[in-house]
Amino acid sequence: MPHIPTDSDVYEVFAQSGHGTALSHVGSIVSPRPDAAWHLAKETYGRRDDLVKLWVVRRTDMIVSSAGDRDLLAAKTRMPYRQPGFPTARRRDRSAAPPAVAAPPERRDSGLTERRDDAREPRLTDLWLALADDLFVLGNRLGERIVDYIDLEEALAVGSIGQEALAHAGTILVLCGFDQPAVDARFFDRAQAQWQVSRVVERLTDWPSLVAGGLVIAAAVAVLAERTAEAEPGAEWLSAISAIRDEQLVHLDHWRRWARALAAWPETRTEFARAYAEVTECAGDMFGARPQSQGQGVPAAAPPAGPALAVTLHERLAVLVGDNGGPGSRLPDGPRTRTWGVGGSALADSLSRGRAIRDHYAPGVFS
Amino acid sequence: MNADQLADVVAGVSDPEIDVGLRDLGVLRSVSLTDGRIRVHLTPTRLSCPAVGEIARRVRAALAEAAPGHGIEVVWERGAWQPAAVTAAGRDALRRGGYRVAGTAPRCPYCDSEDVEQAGRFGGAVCKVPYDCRGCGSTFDVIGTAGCNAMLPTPVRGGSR
Repeated sequence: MPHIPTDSDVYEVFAQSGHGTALSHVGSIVSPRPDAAWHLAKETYGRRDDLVKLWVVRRTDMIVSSAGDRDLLAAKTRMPYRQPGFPTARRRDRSAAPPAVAAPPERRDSGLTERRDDAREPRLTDLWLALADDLFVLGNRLGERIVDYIDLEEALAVGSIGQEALAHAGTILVLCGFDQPAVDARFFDRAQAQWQVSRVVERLTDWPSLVAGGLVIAAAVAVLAERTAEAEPGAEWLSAISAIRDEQLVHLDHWRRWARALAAWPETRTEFARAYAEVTECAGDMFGARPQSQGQGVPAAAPPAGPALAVTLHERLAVLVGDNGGPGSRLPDGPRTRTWGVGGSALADSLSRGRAIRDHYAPGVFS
Repeated sequence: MNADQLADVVAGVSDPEIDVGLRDLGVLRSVSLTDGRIRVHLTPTRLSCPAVGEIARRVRAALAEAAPGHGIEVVWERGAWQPAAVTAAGRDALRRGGYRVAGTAPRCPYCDSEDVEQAGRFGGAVCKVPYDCRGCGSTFDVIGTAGCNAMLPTPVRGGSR
């Protein structure tokens, strides 16, 4: 415990030996009288050097820590991500960590088995559900990066875009007829083998690829939202779809600035060109969803999203990606089909982190 | 209590972040009462508003106290919020709290100067766009949706590299 010392004839001496130096503790003296203490300190500590300041204080006038005060003295509010070495250490730890196990625990499987109903044409709903899967992983990947930024503005942007990607994923499921428990079950209790993410998702590992992937996904969501709004003007879900489109266009603009910047800097030009080529090469399957057993709505009465629709959407996507991401896109000429079980460590990480966090919540929080 | 009185109860519930009532903020859409069941239609200012859970909890608590024994259902109308739905009283309350509402040319809430500059596209919350006032040096936020954000006339300073 901090305490007041009892040895009343001991004095602590503080001296400053030059204008550029700090006043610092130089030692203690024993003096029988207070008025003699300062002169004794001058004789003891100021004999050889010129002093600028000399302060003497009786030890019993101080409050001092004890040897057992280590816990009290430890910084309570030190946030690891504010320490100077944090981003470097974090990147090193990440790159050293083994990739997440791809197969999630089977006990989580709560009867959400997808029927692989390839006999039916995919509907707009199927396309939305697949893009919701992509948005969910993108939001998670961005969320992990918030603390990597020294630049506040970029941390706010990445945090906002990630938060909105997750919210859009959830909103899409609600529009497709899911209630909140079903939304949670779909995102957190579904085995990786039942996700139908784009092949872009497994590329969402380094920053240049996240920029390219964020750009492609934002463009795809904007394109599909535009098409959905055309399908049934005046529908009651139109405001939500329009809000998703408007917010994704803001995200797209953010990624466009990043793409231009990374392509312009000599230090990042080569790396970004490679990431942009690889990500766009994988992005042919944005509208290639296979039919899924779950989900109605958006819009229930809409025509099947047959091959012709996928071609139209894909063409719009190619224009939007080229306009925003710049030259060097390797988007395939025509749409590709999605498949189950891709997503790699990017999807596996998002799933295992989400489950780990939910496991540590008190029972009943997610009811 | 009838539906109008119940709506007044909900209107008195404040937003968790800014001290302004839900009706004044344009979040309250309607309240209906059928067969002893209260249905409250609300709209978040932004799809990803993190406060929807807390707002629903406050609305339920206020209604349960004012009209005990009724079933309460909270319906979120996603994407329906518009800056125009903020009432005059809401605009005053927001201005006093250092906020402006999107949809008109932004002015500084502190010195009323029009010489303001957008300081970025993403603020401390998803519904806010940060601004600087060159008149008095204050910073303030404009509350608005992405659609409104696109409408705002002032170009972004610097951008994000």
